[in-house]
Amino acid sequence: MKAIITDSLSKVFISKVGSNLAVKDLNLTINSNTIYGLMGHNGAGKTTTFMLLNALLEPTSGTALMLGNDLVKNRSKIRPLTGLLTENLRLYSELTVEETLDFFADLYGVKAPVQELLKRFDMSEWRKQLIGKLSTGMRKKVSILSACIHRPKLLFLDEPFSGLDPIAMQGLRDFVRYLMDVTEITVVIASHNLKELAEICDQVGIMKEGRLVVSGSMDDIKSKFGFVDHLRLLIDKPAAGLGHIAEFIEPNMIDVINTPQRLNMVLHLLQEQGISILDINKRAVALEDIYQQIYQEVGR
Amino acid sequence: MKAFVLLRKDIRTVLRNRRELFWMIMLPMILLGFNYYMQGRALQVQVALVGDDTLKPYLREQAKQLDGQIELTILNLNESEAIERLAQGSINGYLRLGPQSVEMFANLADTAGAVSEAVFQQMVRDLNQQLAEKQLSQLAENPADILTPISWQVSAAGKQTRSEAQLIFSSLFVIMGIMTAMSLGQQSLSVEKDRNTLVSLRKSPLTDYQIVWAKMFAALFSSLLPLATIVAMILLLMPEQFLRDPVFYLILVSITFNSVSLGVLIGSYMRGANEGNSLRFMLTLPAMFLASMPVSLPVWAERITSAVPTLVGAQTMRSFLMAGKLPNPAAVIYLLLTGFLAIRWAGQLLGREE
Repeated sequence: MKAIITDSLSKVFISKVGSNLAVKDLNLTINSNTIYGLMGHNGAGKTTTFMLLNALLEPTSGTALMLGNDLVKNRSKIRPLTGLLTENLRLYSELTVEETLDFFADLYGVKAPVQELLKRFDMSEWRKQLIGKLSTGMRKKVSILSACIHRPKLLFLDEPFSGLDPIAMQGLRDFVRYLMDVTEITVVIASHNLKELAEICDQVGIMKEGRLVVSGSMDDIKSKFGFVDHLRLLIDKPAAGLGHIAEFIEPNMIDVINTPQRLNMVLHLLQEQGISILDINKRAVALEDIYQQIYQEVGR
Repeated sequence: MKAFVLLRKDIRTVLRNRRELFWMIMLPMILLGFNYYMQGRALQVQVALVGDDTLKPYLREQAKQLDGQIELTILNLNESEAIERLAQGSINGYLRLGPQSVEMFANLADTAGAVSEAVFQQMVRDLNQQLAEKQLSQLAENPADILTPISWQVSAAGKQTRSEAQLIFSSLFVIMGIMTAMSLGQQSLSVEKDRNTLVSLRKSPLTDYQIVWAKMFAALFSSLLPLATIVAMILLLMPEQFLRDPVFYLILVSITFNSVSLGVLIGSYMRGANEGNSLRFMLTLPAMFLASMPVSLPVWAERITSAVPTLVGAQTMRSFLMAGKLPNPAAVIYLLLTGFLAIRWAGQLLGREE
């Protein structure tokens, strides 16, 4: 099932100084129960897209189906189905963790098992702590919990990794994965942290100047744009006859494109020569590289 | 009911914000302290005695026995001088003494005038008591020699005369009613914007109108805190007649509602707290200035004050406290109506696209 299907969704802001095309002809499809990463420079249209998909902005043109609901006709129906964590959400520093979650649950009129949730996310001891006294990582956790306290089917996280240390980032990744495990939820993450997106997302998309220039799984995008992963094999003695399928970095180290066909050929030739593999190092194409290249190439 | 959830949260956050709470309570106390100091000065009562000389030594003697809270100065003037000086405001009242009557002319709108009236009324009452006792003792000895009690009359004089104390009260209530209320109204939304929580509220099942109404009621409730403090302190320290008048509270609530609503409108329109402050000051400072103006306004200025809601509020409060004028119903309706319109507009602006 598709969680989101947009068809030429556009948004133009009109102000005294002129019009600004924030999102143009967005055609986005996201499968249910997946994690989708949205990338793009500042001002690329990610936040506006989130606002549109949460029915907080009215599209200028185009349509969208959110969990089967028409975005234009069923705005009030869509809002409770989605959860949104906005960038730099600071919550209410005067409320405790428990009060904050109760507040958002009451706002949506749901009976949320707040104590159970806090226990499950190792936050029980913090429940009486004021939000203003929490660490950034803890606050982020509470923010995400408050965004999904009403059990949305679609969760939008705008820059969830900003301001977090590596351990907190790992914690956040685990947290999102846990959410995926225990609930039927589709998560859309907009972030500049491409490493984290690569770690957690099933699919990614790149926005540039309001357009979605690329969308799909990492493998699809790699193959579409000719990106390949490499393997570096450390061997016990120099090999012969591999020049046409692999590259020698050093006499005892060969670099081979990570496709089953090539790898089989290399292994076969090494076996014939009685050469043993001492170490294998995978050199995957980083999302940063893909992003930078696509960003420069597409839409120029 | 969901709007009530937001209202409850807002009141809770205000009550937990110790710094804000401190100033909400402290500011009226500081202003009231200043007012009390001014009141203390006003209690240096100056009263002139004119007419029959026989009572003068008794009144002077009694005045000396007053405790230190009132410094009563008694002057010997002729009546025309006393009338003139009372009109100028350089004395707080004068007593026309007759053989069997005392008539007092005092500015009863002025605290010092009202105090002097009460002091002398008590003195005449004491004198009559003494006369009555004397009568009883003399009655048996010489029944023909009956002393007649002195009658007491009070004539309010110079009610329109400027009263320093009333001016301070007037500006004090306007400061509380307009400045704090508008600030709380504005903050209630701009803080949500600064914290990025407004989007979360707008994403919830609450409508934009429910959000602004909840914000308005929460700010109105919070504004009542400093107002209640100041009313309680005034009642405690110096019972003022106007505090017992329901009209006073009607004006106060109208001004506060109007100011909170305008604050919510500013908060809804501006992007954050800082942007709204200058606009808020533009609306509140002239109102404070107007509330403490000792003189009548020229016609052109009156016209301006009848158009700007905050100035209408200030002018209504000023007229009531200084001249005892009942508020023009149109002014109160105007304050309430512009308050409602401000909230309605705020609801529309909340969802505007930028």
